[in-house]
Amino acid sequence: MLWLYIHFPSLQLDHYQRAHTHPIPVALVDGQPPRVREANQEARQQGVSPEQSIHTAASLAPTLQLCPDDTALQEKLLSRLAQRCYHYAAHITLCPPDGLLLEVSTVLRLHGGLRPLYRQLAETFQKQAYQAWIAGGATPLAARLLARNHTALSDDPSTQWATLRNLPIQATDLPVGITDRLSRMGLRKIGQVMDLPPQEIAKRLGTDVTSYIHRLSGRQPDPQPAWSPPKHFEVHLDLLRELDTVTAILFPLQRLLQELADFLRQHQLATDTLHLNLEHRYDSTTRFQIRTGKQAHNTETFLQLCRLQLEHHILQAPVVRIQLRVDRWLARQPDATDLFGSTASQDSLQQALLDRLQARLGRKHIKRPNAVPDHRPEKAWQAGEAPVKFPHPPSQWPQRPLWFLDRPQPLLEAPQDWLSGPERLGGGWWDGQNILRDYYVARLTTGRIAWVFRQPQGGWFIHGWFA
Amino acid sequence: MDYAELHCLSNFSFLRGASHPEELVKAAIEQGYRALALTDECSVSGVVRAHREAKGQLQLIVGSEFCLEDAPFLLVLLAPDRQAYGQLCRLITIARRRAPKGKYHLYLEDLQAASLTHCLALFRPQGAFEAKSQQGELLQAIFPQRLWLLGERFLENGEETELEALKALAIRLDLPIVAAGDVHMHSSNRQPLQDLVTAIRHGCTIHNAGYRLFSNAERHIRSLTKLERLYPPEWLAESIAIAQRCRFSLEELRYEYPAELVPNGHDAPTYLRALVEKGAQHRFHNKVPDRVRQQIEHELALIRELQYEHYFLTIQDIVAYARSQDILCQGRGSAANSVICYCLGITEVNPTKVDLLFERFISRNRGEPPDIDVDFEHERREEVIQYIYRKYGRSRAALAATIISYRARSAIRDAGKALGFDLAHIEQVLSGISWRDGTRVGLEQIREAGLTDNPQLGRYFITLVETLIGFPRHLSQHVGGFVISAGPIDELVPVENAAMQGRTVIQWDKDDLETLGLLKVDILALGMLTAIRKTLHLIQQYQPGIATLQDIGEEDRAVYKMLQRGDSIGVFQVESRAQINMLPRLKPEKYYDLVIQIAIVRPGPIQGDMVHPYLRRRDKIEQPDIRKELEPVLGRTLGVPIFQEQVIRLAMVAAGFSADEADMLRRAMAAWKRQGDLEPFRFKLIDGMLARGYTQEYAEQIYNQIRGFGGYGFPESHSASFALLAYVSAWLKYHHPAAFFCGLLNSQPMGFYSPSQLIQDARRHGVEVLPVDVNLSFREHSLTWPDKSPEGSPAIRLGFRLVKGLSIPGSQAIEANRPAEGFKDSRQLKYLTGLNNTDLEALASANALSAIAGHRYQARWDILGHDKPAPLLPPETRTQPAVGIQLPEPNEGETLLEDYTSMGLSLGRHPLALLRERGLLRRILTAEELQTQEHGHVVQVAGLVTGRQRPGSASGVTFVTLEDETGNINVVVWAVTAQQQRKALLTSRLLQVSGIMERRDTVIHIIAGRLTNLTHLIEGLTIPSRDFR
Repeated sequence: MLWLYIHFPSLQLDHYQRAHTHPIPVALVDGQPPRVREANQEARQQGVSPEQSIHTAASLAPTLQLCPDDTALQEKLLSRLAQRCYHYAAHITLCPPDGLLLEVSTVLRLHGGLRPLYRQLAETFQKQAYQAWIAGGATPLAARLLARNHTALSDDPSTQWATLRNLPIQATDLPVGITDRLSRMGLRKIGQVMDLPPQEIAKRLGTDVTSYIHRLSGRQPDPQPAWSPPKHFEVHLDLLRELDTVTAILFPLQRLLQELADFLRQHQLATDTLHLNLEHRYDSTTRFQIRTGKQAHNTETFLQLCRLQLEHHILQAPVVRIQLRVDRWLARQPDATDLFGSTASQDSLQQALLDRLQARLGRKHIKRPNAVPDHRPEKAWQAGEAPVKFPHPPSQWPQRPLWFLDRPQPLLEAPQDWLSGPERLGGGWWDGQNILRDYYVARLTTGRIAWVFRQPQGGWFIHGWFA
Repeated sequence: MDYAELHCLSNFSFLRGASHPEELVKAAIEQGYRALALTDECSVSGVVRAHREAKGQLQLIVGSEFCLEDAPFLLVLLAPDRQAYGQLCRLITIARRRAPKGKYHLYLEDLQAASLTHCLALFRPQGAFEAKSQQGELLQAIFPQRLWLLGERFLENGEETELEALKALAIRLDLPIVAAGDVHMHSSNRQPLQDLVTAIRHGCTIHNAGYRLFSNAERHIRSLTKLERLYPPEWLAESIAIAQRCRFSLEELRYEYPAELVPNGHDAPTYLRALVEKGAQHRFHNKVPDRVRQQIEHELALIRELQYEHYFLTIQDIVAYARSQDILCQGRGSAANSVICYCLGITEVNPTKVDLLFERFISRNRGEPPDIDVDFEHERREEVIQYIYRKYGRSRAALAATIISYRARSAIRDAGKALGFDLAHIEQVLSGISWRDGTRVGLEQIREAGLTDNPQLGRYFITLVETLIGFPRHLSQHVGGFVISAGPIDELVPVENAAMQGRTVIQWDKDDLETLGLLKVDILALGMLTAIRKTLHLIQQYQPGIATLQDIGEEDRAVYKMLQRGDSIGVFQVESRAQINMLPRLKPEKYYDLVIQIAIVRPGPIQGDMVHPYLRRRDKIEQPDIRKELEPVLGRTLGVPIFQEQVIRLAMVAAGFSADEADMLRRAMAAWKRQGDLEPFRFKLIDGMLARGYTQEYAEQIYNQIRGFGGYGFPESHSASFALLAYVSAWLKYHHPAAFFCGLLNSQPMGFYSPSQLIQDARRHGVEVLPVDVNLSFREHSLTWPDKSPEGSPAIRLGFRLVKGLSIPGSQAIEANRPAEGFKDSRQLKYLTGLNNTDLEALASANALSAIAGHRYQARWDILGHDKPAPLLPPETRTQPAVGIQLPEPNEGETLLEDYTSMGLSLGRHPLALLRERGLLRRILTAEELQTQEHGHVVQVAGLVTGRQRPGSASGVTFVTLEDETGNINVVVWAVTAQQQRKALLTSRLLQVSGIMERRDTVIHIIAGRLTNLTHLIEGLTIPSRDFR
């Protein structure tokens, strides 16, 4: 077996740097109080280094950009990079947060040996503007240590071993407590530890150490979980007979949706977005994106949504091919089934209605008022796209008119009755839209009940009507 | 129309109230209120401040607001008389003591159980009408004829309905309604700040605080006209009726002294006199000089007049306890420097030897309580505290609080967070700000740096932060200020939990106690006392004649000569770098010179430019020009005000300040850093001086000196006590260096220097220092005589306490189980002591096993290989491992590394010596060689960076201390150099400096030119260097 390990020494920083034409000093920070975890070359040149307080770092490099250490982003980047490597090796293992392990013995001949493979990989990452340290080794751990310590690449096993043996014990993945104890017995190199009788080491430092050393030297197997690329569902149906009505499409579509449902069941997944492409004669395509409000996984739901969206569509040309693609996956949530086997709660019925309305009218065309907790009437609601879930109303909303005027109108007559007030509303200094108003509820001569206000600078306005 | 506000929160309801108590009182006076009740939530922390402000101008009522755990209504209790006040304090104590620090838990049951027979109660019911009615009935039972409904209007939504319900409830319950304002701020302008603290309290940003904010700014001190429009006249009249029932004033709180200190047959004056008499006979060997006799009579008369006997008796009792336990202590403060305190053993400063301190014994003019702080050995202060608790009980002794307030940094952080600024960005901007030149300048820098691109918010931000600075955040425990009372303390002031387990604090701080004239005893911890006591114990081993402070030779010329050389590492108060530099210039040659030395090398006198005039006059370059009436004030310091007392006296004598005005000046000076300027005093001071015939120039100069003093002034009465300890420690260092350093090392951590630096200094003084050895060391460092003759000079045997990672039980086990001839090998060590591997490894790495187990690598390896002892088999019968594995010995670099890692120091050669030997430091001078270089020469030096004082990024200099194998080198880096060579300056652990030699007297500085980072050289040696930032 031959393993190749790729270490990305500054994954997240390289990622940020890619967006800029000119290099800027950037440092990753984490911890409380925050400390520098990693710094890019520009920052390092100005003296910024790991473990510095950001106080020191910022005084060394006044233009330093600080970013939080983002493990989620690193993982995402890593799997993106893994996809790049899929071309070179079938067996890939992600080693978060910053490494990839490739099993290459099977593909070595294909690429003409280790060095050409190494060159190709190096080029790939260079083009992507990622620094990558690559090394090969006879065991996964050997490759990992050689790469992480930026040793020169070698395809000669004995050179690899010699280099490895000469690495400091701190270069291993052993816990700091262990490496500390080893080096304080004068055992500073990996080779020194390998040469000692394993049972003597196990007796003193535990079997974890010997097991690690054995995996490193290959005396103990070290199975690596294979990474697989993200799942991808794409099916199509080439129609033997052109179809020219939407209804006619629904039947074959049902088959594709069934296939999708099977796929989802097998993988215990769900989705909320389908891409449906209808390919026409003469190479044109009509594309639909069908979204559900809640995650879905069964044929009926999908079919109903497709039907609603297609129903009003007029085909511009006969359809020769239907293609269904899904690339957004959600973990499947079990249906809550009550004792009587009914799964449809009030909530999900509402949701179903919303889904249908959206499918028919288009997502953009459905707005709903949302209450916003803000004392300023203008800010106390907003029209949003229909939210996926209905917010529960807070217990104590202030009394407000149902009909709220977009723009206050001047009050032109003295009201007949003052029903309540004043309610003084003031605040909002933080966003520059501060108000100070006294509101009253008043009956006008017309008999209508108005919500009126007065401002300190004078003037009466109507701001809404009570039913 | 008359009105009394009976429901008002200050910023002592943390993160709710948005005004200081003083501001609320001022506003209430301005609006013409008849009275104001300060009713902070479960607290009376703010009332003393309000009381001070209200004195003579406004009736202040003490009260508190409560939310119950098991009832929805809001309750306000007021204290109409002393008894009610005691009941209120007790209730607060009950609620606070059962909750974690800063919180309180109060239950209905408490109201029923606690005696609240004198308190008045106002309440705001909550819920449906029936529920409200029930709440009212319940409270009526507890507060018959003393219960009111709170009628509060804030112009909020649905208020009309609420008020109708309230009126109906009043009829149903037959209760009066009283108008109140639920005041949260003194002016409606504080609304933004109120919103801000609300957001901080909820841990949200202002943008998503929503309905957690008040809908308007009505909760402020409103004008009477407005109140008249809002409330029915009978509600307003009720507020006056209640206020009239309240007759309690904080003035009534008298300190009632613990009675048990006076034995039968005595009263306090006679007992004090008896104790003083006994002490005087002892101190003056039965020959009390007439002058002393007169002074005793004078002081006793004064004490009698002011009735302070109990105070002196209390302190005497504590000090006597400490002495009985062989705990060293030393009093300081104005009253401490008296003949009486010398006779009572509170201080060791002998008034016949230093006769200039005693005019300021106790000020007769004001009700100023005597001020005595007593320092105890830092490792044993807890014993004294426990004694006080034992003697007076926890119900009668408690620690004063320290009110922790918002400072610039914390205000910027919290406000920034609440305004939704990026946290990392806040930190980054903060890191670039220098606060040296005051808050205002710092904030200006923040404004320039810009925390937000929203100009609106940016504008508000600075104002909000400025206002927030100085707002109290929480109560912490005072370092040692005890209040001891005659009755239960929680009827004097509420007691609450401190952060430390089992510790409690009262709700008032030192200033509050002072305002009320309550006495407190400061029980402080001082490391140097520990060191001195340990040193004296060590000297006992070979020179039993020196057992106490009294046995130390007075005014020893040789000791002063040592100090004049700047040889003062380890000496109390004069060991800092600034002090070491000043010693050869001030050349102390008697005790009082040390008093000045200690007070003058401080930011206050330095910023006030008092050092140079003093030096010039001392060196007779300049004649002091002191007017006759100032002679008693400034004469002893050659016309330069150096001590805080002098400034105060100066204002009185030269500018005609009254005692109260002078006291205000003292407070203003203490708060200067925080609250801005002494400007209000400027005209008074200068005008007063001009009127008395001083020149404008002189008056301005004095004013500037006072300003420079601000907050840093050091009192002579404290300096006098410190100077004594400085002298004692210098004497010990000079005459008994081995015992002295051993005592210091056994008292770590304390002082300026690390054990490594102390040991180097000890060796430079010819003290032999021997390594830790499992067969010869003890837990503590000890003295030993290498040549076995007690006449020879002792050496220091390092103790196990130096070994990092070795547990205390581990080192005890070694001492307890060590055979007379020592352990034979590591196996025996392990079996006899039962030490665990962590302890054994720590010993091995510290090379403490070298005598029995070979070099440290081998020792560590072997010791881990020993099997756990099987209980039934004696160790001898177990077989040795067949083949031993031999590990290579550490080289010198590795040895150094191990020494530093396991002990923080090495007795081996200094890293710089190794580098020099390897030829890596050519043409670089050692600290020793520098001594012979001439002023103005260009020199090259290098050393481990052991100190890097960065007084600020914007201005001033950076002081760097380099350490090499021969000593320390002081480097001055000017701002420009620092700016240009920032990287080398900030990141080097081994630094090379080429610069210009500057020499004044024996003080040597290198003014840095080029800085070179040589850290890679020590990394090559595998030698660690500590980052001494």
